[in-house]
Amino acid sequence: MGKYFSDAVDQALEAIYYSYDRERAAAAVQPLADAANAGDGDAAYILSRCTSGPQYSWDYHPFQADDDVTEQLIRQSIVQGSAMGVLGAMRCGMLTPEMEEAMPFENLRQAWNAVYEKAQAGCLFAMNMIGNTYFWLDVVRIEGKGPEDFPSKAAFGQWLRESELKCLPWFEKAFAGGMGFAGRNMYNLYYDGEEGVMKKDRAKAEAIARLGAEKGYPDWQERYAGFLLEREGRTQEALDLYFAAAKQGQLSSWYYIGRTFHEGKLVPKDCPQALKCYELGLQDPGQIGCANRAGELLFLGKDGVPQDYARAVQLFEQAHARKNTWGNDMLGTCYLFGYGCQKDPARALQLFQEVDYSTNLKNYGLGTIYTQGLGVPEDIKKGVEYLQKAQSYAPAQEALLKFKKTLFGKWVRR
Amino acid sequence: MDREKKGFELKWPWNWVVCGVFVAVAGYWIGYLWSALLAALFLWWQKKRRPGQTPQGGYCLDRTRKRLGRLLWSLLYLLLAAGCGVVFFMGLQEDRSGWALQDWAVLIVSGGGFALFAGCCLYETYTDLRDAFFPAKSRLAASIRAQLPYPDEAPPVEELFAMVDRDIQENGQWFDRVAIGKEWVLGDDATSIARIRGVFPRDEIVTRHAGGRRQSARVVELYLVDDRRQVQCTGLRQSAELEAAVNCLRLRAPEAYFAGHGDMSGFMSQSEEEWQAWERSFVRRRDRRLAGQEEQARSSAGSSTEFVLTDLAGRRTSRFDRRTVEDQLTNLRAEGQRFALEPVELIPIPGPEGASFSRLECGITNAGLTLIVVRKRAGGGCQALARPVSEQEAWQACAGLLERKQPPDMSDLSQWQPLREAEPPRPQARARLTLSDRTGATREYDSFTRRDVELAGEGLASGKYTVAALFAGPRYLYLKAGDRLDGRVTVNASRPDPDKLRVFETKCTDRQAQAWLLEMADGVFDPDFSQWKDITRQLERTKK
Repeated sequence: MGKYFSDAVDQALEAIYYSYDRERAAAAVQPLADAANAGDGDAAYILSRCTSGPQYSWDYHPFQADDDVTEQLIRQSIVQGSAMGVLGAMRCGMLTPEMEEAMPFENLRQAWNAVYEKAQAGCLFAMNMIGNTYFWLDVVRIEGKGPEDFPSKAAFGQWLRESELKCLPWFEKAFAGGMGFAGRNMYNLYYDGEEGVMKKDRAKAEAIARLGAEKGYPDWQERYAGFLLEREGRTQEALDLYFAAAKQGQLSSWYYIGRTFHEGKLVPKDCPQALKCYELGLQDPGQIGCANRAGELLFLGKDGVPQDYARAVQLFEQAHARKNTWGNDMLGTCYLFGYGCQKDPARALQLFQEVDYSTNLKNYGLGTIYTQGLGVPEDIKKGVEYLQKAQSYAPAQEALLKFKKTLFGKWVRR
Repeated sequence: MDREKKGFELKWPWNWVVCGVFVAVAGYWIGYLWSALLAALFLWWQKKRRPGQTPQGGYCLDRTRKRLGRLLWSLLYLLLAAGCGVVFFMGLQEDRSGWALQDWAVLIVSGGGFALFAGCCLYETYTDLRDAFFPAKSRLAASIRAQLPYPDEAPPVEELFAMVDRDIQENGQWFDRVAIGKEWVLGDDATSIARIRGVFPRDEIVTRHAGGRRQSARVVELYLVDDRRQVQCTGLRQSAELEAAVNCLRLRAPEAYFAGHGDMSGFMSQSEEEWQAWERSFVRRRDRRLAGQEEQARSSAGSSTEFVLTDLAGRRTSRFDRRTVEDQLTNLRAEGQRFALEPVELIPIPGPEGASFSRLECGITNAGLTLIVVRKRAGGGCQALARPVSEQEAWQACAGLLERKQPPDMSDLSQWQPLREAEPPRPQARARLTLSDRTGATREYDSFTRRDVELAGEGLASGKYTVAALFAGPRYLYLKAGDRLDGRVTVNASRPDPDKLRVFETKCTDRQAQAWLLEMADGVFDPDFSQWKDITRQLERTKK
């Protein structure tokens, strides 16, 4: 039997939440599954968090999100009597009336007490859970208190504010104790503040980030490096932190390292090296920044990076699939002229029109589409207006030379 | 398909001969001015009928032949010389003993005018005929020679003209009488773009005062100065075209000095040291630009502009060659692996269907090594056809595509197995259960069971929940628990009618509310809405 839960659960918490080790985390899954199958509800709950998506553990743990499996495991954990499962289900909207009926606790308070006891005994994960019940005001439902239980609405509001702030000591303890994950909501509360509850306190937020970085949590190293970048004379320290985080597997840090080589301010400009960094970051397909910047380098093919339109298109599409339109002007240009993809002026037009920013590429593309009537009725006047907006762009100037204004002010082909 | 316009066209020199004869003959009847105008109109019509067509013999020859048109100036000079000559020779034959000073002045001026105009006439006639009939000695040929590194060793005029014509034909952009290619500017003279050092447009209204009269003329000219400080000048008819030509030259020769005509003399009269310094700065800037272009060319070298390869790892690239594709084929080992070649331009497949070849995939399926061809139908949509092949056949298909843009032979479709098109998943609106309790907190469940709905109904009756609502697409049922004054449940329900979504309201007992909630969950909720109050308008007004 482990210190707080079963051996499997305690070891899994250690591997998944108190360290940043992909291999250890991956190795913890099978024992968890075995324990869950043997009736360990807490194991089923921890396992459900592994399949819930990156926001439920470290972003770079090797887990596959699967909503159906998550739901099944959460239900299993509740039926098997996991108090953590009950609180966790409540947090992610899965504690349905049927589950509430099925849980082997008299009420939510009893489940909360069970977790609270573990937290008081020193379990970091339980501390984080208790902190979250305050932070997200799940205590309202747990306590069953409403405005009618208070002499006035103001008193109810005051109670809510006080309850929310009770999260901080729990988060602090868990964070300082070795659970980097527990710092997220605390940091957000200090960094953004909350109206009526707490004012922004960027200094405190930075202190949290620094503590995390000092403890070697890679996500916090990256966050703290962001603060250092804004400080004069500490950019090298920031770069070192990004490297340290990246080496521990914080793939998003490669974006910042890549940018440093790309911009060439802190280190000599080295675009091939920047591309390598972006490609490393792209091991995480969600790294939109890496996809866009690598796409840009490959699209432009400058500063020692060999041009590769097809790869650029693939990367811009990757970012676009995640609702990011930063590279739409370049992607639209590729579709318009068939650079690394099949020509598709209609798609190009759609991509250009999706964005409200104005760039030479976008204006040149739209100018070409309208003056040549590609997928739209020819409209030389409109096309020339777009080309004129891109007058500092040589191809647009070249294209403009093909049109002239008649005596009556109409634009015609030369 | 381009259809070459055919029709009546008078070729050189017959077009000019006919025009000349016409002017001479018709001039006798309708006046030379009108006949010359008609002839010019005829030549203009001949040109307009073939827009964009290279003139017979090329642009340069056409330019030299057009000098014949300037014979009209010779005619004018001749008339003036004749006028002055008549006055002069008549004066010579008169008795000059009693001449006053004024008579002598008339004699001298008419004599001078005669000599001047006769000289002009001869010179103009000579240069016009020389340019038209002896192009090797023309001003244009001389200007091209002057642009060559060794003018004395210039090739024959045919080659000189062909060199300029080729550039204008391939890259030429016309601005009134000036054509600008990638290497040459063709005006009244020809200028090598690489040699241009100064561009001086002139767009001025020149006013002269003569005989108490004021004469104004707009002068639109383009002056180009080359690295040997030679000036080439061409007159244009429209100032807008002059501006466009200068803009074009800014792109072709960005390092050149661009200024107004007034600055030209200052530019030309630089001392030798100043000129050399300017030349060095010019070369430095040009080299920097060319180096950038070279780097860009190097960067895109080795990149296919016609095909895209999606490799076995699913990575798309333009940077591949025959060897890369061979490697892909060799590394195909496990089932499910595949690589694809995609042409940037769809390749039309001959046949009545009007389909186009879009993609060639080569992969390992349960049937072994398989070729998959994706065709785009003329009316939209794609069709995929598969055929098991040997490794050699697979390679031939890839090589045929890459080297000859030849898709695999699909004349016998019986050998190809159509693949079923995967239907895109239809987005389904998930049902949603919403519950509010006495604390005011609301929670939504998009995954729930029938038991949850049952418990929601019971909770509404017991006072655990104050609101229970079930949403399924456009339909919803919203139940609000009663209060101390009225214990009945308030029910709102939507009904999607063909014209609009209607909302009804009624009040009912807890038990009825529970029953309806379950009916809604079971998809059989269909009460008699005629007994309910239609609150659609009321809601619409509230929304406004």
